[in-house]
Amino acid sequence: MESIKINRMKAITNSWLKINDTDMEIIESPVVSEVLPKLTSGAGEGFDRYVAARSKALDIVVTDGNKERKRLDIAGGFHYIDVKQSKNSKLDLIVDVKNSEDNAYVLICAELEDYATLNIIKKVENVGKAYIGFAAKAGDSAQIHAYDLFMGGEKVTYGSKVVLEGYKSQYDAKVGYITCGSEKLDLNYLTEHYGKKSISNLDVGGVMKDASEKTFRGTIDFIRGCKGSEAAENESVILIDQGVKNKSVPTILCTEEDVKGEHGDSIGKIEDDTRFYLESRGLDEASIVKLVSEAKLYNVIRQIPDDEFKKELIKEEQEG
Amino acid sequence: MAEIKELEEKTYVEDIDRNIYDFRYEDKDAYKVESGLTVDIIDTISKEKNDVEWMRELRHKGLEVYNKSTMPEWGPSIEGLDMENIVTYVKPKTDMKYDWKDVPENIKDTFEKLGIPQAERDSLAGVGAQYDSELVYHNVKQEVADLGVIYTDLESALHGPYEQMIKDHFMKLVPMTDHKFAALHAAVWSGGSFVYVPKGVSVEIPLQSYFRLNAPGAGQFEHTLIIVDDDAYLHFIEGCSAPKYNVANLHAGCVEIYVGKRSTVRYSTIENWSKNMYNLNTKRAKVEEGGKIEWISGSFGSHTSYLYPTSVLAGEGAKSEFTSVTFAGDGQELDTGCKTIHNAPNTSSYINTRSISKGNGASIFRSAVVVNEKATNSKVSVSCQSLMLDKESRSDTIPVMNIYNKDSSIGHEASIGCISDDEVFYLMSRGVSEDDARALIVSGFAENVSKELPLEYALEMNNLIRLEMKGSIG
Repeated sequence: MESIKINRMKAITNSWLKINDTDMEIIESPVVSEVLPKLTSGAGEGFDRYVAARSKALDIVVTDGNKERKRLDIAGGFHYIDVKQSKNSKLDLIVDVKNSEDNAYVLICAELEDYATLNIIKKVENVGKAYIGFAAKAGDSAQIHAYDLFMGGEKVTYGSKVVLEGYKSQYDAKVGYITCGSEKLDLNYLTEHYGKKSISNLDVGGVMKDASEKTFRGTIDFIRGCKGSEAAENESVILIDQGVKNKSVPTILCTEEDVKGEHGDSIGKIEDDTRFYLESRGLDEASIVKLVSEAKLYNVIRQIPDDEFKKELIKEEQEG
Repeated sequence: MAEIKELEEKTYVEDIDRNIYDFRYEDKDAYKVESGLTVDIIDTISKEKNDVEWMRELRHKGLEVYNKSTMPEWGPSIEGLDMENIVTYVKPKTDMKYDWKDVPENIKDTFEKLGIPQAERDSLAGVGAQYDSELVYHNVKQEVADLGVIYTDLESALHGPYEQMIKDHFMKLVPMTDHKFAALHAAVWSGGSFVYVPKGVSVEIPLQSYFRLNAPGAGQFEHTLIIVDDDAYLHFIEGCSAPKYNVANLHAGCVEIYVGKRSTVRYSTIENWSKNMYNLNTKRAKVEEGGKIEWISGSFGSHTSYLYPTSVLAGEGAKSEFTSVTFAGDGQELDTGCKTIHNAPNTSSYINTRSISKGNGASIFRSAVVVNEKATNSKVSVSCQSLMLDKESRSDTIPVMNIYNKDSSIGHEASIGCISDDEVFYLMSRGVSEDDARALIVSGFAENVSKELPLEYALEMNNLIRLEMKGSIG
């Protein structure tokens, strides 16, 4: 099987830790486009070119002051979504990748001019192999709000690179995941602060069961000149079963003194106090695990600004 | 102790003042091998050391592994290090002495300036002093020797009753295949100490080794092997320095520490190599059931450092604590941190680091915590704080946590920033000048680490940091 390396960390570390990048399967597929993406996703240039060349690009353009909502349901195949938002525009974009045995390769690029706002909700559920890349660039006071849900797939990789180029540009991402069986989840979030007083916040929470594997790379990069910028990154992982393999590397790179950056990571089992409380309410082990898992996802779902999709997700969770 | 200069309070932060270390003696009578790395050079070193056969074979194997290994791709550039120009063995014209008055004048003067003999008189149980590739002085106080403690140069121990013990442990914790410079060390190591602390013995006063690299373009490859048996205690202090030259020097030493059951070893290091030094040192401890290793590390020198003391928690209940401060000034790229491998249940590790960077200095904190399947109910806490003093400097934090069991608890936090204007304002509103306020904040930033450093040895270091940092920044 032919493969390339994707989701490579910006600052790599010892190779024996096996955390610097991951493999993506290359499949035979005709080249249909010569369009090269202008931005680079967190999955890397190799991934971006591979996907863009085999996709018919879907252009989403939101003009000055306008507001749009777009939903894309994806089941396998190659997809390149190119978003351009003019000043003061707003876009709610839902990308739902699910129920597919075929490999899915998805690249989303978004360029936001000044004061534009993008709410982007990405959900991956019940897939075979899904490889997703996200690239975004934000102008002055532009805002990107991301809600990422990873809810099952044999192998799911997601590489995000957000460039906060503009003054007071903002990016916040809320991420929830559940891995079970022998699933593999590989996440690479990179936020580059160029603009003065730019702000980013990444909040990641998940539950791991059975013999699943998860790698989380979260990199905050303060580039010289981004005075007054602030960034925070937090991951919280609950490990349910003995066979799980968790790898986390929250990274801060900094060449600008006048910034504030922080990250935190907590990894472990369900807190004893939490377990005792739930047991005292009559819940058995399976119910406790279900409740805790759902909580990680609901933490993201409840904040999704699109009511229609939020209701759909809640309904699915309740029925599932 | 080295005479502490009266330093004027300054209004800007200077680099660590290395003038007291930047003196050198031209040792015309020193014996040197040719620069570079060949089988003939290895054989020459082996012959000089009168190696036993297994050690000679180990050196050859080391060269073989070195030649096949690749340079690391993930850390600071070491392009400026050309092994063809490094002299791997420089022997001063003296044998090892047991009394300072027998040490040749220039060498004795060197260590007097560094305060080593005084420290030994005041507060140490034993001292080993290495000058370039060989130990020139080694002594242990009688009352410590009477407890059965062995503290001797490694080469003597190899030719004595401890040969088998050394063979069983030498480069087993740090195998030569670990990385390219571990292999180099295996090939050309020279000098260093062997320490053995018997069961139940507590060595209340520290032992110390000091390494001085005097020759330009030379490498120092000392090996420190410490074996502390069960229910024992040892505090070992390591110091190093070198004068600054315009050519590269290399330090690729190796420290292997075996901590017995329920024993504690405290290993303190003050690293103040000159700014032409490539410091590619490897340190590792293996801790048995109920044992504890404490690493206290102050890194202030070198042009480029790769330094990650590693703790292997092999026995149930084993513990590791790592406390450090790193100061990267102009022209320095210090890639430091630590690694902890949890291999047994109920183990715990605590990592607390501070880093400061200024000028075009770069301070990189790099850590790895691995909690393996068998290490159930283990606990890990990692805290890393970085302070950047100006817009030219750089600070990176790259902590990896690979967790392979569900029953452990891992917490990590890191922060990066500059001196807070609010804090300065608060202090100024209490009548403190702006300069003093900034100095106080920076001192406080490093205080919880600097107070853990061994004051009886590193007093001048702590004072240098405090005094140099006193003043306004930026």
